Amino acid sequence: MLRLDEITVYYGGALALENASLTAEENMLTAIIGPNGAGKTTLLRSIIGLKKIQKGSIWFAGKRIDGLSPCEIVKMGISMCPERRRILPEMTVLENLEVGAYLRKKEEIREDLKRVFDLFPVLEERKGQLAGTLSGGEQQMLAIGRALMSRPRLLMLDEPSLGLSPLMKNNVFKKIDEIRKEGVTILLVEQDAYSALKIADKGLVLEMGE
Amino acid sequence: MAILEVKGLTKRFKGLVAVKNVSFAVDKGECVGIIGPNGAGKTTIFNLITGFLRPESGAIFLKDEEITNLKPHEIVNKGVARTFQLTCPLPNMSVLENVLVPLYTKREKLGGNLEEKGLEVLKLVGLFHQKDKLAKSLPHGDLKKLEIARALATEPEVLLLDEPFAGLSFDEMAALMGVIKNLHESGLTIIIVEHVMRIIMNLSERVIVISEGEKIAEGPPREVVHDMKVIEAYLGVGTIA
Repeated sequence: MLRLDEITVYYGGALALENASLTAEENMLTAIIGPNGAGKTTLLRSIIGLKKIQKGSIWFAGKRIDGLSPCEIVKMGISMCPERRRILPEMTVLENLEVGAYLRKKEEIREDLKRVFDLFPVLEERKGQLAGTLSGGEQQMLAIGRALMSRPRLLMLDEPSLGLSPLMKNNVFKKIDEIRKEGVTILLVEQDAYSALKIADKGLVLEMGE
Repeated sequence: MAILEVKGLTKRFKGLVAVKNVSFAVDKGECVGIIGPNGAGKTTIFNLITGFLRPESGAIFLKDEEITNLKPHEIVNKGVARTFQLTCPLPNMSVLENVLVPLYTKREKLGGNLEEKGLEVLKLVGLFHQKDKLAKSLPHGDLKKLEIARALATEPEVLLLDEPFAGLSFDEMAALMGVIKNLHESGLTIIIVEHVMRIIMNLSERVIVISEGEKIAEGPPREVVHDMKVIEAYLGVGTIA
């Protein structure tokens, strides 16, 4: 489904990833763990086209995607839930979720909205509220929900459990597992290796760019 | 003796009552944990104590002096400092310069020794060797330490930490735990909001549980985690041993 062939990425002058390779098979959950600063986020940003790679190639569903714009990559069926809950604070909760589905027809997204609201009931209660007024953990839920709204074939989650209560964290991991069973391929970057590996088919350790 | 006391604090956001009649006291030198579901009002309580928000009713006392409705910088000068969930360093300044900015408020007291004091603070949090690096080049764990260093630079008597362990690796957590333990042992009063229960159990002497804006439990960590109300609202069954 996804293949990275010996990619090398520089951040400013610093080497962030060196000859990193990975494959993520269809309908499987691949967890990427490793210390902070190892290049996990850079890896995800390279896949979605936000970071140019200097060497190597990235393949998705048989097509080479490195060099494409993020917009083209999203259209092919990849979505990302970024870390640090980058939601749109001046838009409502509902608008944030609709942005996640902007490539799709409105009538199609009703079911997906329901799925997100089932997952995070608090988002339904607060759908008219400005996203910036949500608590930190609620913003994290919104970021995950928004990534799901594009019905991705490959969903990339960058530290989805950050700032969530133990109960909510358990729910989120359970839900990620369910989403995978619905046929979505998942790439999960997580600091909590224990929770991530419990639901993963495959685990990769990234250390200092390798 | 209570160094910080919160009495009947209530805060509304339009229709939503974010904090409902919350009261608690923290003794000098104590380390108190605040836990609760996402959106329960924990950060709002910090925002009220530090003057970022004004309560509709209730009062806040620091060493028996009322500080309700003072401005954030006045409250800092009285001795209450805080960190934020998302780190917000000055990215293009060095680590040392980031600490010198809050130290500027102490320039008269410290005379010309701002830098000396800044380095001392960096040593406390284990960032001394990083002092000349640009803040934007620091890994996440060090940014969290820098956030604490900047709060410490204001020489607080009470330090409020908002999810300092979020997003840290196990090694980084262990390092930060050591830093906070040392601060606590040196006599600093600490209130910590955190979801990593292992940390709360280890660091705090007393835990306050907030749910839907109200205090639903308070006590030693070992007792609180077995409270059914807390398990239902926050921990989930089987989450903590």
